Amino acid sequence: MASSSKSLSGYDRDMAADRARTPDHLSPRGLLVVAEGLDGSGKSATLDGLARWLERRGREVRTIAWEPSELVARAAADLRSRTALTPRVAALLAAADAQHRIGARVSRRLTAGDVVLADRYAWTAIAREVARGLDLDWSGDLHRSLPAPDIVLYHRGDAGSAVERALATRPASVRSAAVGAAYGTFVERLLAAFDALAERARNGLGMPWPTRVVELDVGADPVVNARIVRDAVRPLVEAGGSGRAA
Amino acid sequence: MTTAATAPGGQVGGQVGAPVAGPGRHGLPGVFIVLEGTDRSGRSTHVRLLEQHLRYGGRGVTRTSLATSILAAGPIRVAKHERRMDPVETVLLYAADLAERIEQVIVPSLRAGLVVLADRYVYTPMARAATRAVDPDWLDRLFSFAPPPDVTIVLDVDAATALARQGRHAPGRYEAGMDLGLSKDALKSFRLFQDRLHEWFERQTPRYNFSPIDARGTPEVVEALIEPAVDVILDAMLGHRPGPGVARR
Repeated sequence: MASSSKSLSGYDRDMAADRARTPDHLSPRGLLVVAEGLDGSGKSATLDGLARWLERRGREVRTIAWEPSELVARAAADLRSRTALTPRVAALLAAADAQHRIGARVSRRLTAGDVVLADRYAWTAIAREVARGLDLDWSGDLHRSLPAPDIVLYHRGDAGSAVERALATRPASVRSAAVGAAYGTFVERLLAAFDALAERARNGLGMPWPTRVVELDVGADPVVNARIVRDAVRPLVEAGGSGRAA
Repeated sequence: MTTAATAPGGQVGGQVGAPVAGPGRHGLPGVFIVLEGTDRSGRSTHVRLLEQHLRYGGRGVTRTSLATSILAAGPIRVAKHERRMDPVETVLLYAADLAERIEQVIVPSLRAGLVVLADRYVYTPMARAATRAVDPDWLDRLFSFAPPPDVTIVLDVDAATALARQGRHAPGRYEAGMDLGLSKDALKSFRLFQDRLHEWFERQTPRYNFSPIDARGTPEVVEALIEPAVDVILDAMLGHRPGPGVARR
């Protein structure tokens, strides 16, 4: 996904000049664009399209995925430790893991002036924790030290279609009515949590950080959505990442 | 965690907290006693002595210590071993360790009416993070899930005494605060860092209602300050339990 363009654009020259005269922690940073939403809502396709568009404009682009926490996965796989893995403990372990594995990586890229596209980010972790019964404010606060996105592209679709899409790819045993109903309830809770996070961001009360949010209707024409995304990101790119909401 | 107050009225010099009648602020029938203090304050020794004293007195006791959870103790060890010093990551791991022990050990024991003795609680991770410039209000919110102790005894030892107790043994990198760049010399860094922690505990005494106790004396002297004060609190909260009548040891 990395751009092959090595020539210094005007922006990059400015960045280099700025870096030369300011200490690291004051350097102007790149741009963090985050795609959020339920499974199968088209986040990856949106970011692929956006990456190509940005690279054509000469920007260095890095795409990262919000990988599940290794600490939590290891605990869940072990019968003895699984009993201790309550939602709160899992949330704290995952937040520590994200701080170590994702926060540091994104910070480095942003300090280098790159555009970072994140296929899921903190909202996904928060929505999952809220769906498991944790408080949104407490859970959101855990991720406050991660670099704040300049913009969140919220892919909003209805819960029913998301459940159908997810179950269609699973074996027949998983598609049973009981599993489908339980999963459906979980997805509805996820959607409510995503909606709450988007609503807060729109009202300037973004959690864990203030950020711009653009809502994309998953059912809409992909060409229209791609245009909405480009129109939202263009001014941020032209502002060189300095048009941050936070 | 501004609500995490101990029994009111803690003072230096042996009077540890005024007794609290009835169930503690955590709302459970047991009694929750925390011993805090900087490194080399004698904390682990006194937790052990107090546990013995209470058991001999006929109390049911559960002891729990920092970084002993099933899920977080390993990752904490690995992070230290790899010298990862991000204060936010570290405090989140300690919070996971506490959350597990609160859910699996502390709350069930309090619910069962036992005395829970904690060798350090939320305050040590908070102190270490706060001295590394982590926002104190965020730390309060992070640990808001932690039930407030009935009394938090802080073993008060100045950095010079801690250093003398450390002797010539090199302190751990984390305990010496080497990541803060206070000094390249581990022992000097240890003294400067412990001084900062000591200051933090002193400053936060009214906020968290700590009951500091002068712990510069010999273990016998300090023990003679802690035990009667704890007995008064337990008698008031759980009722008097005549022990075997023979001093332990």
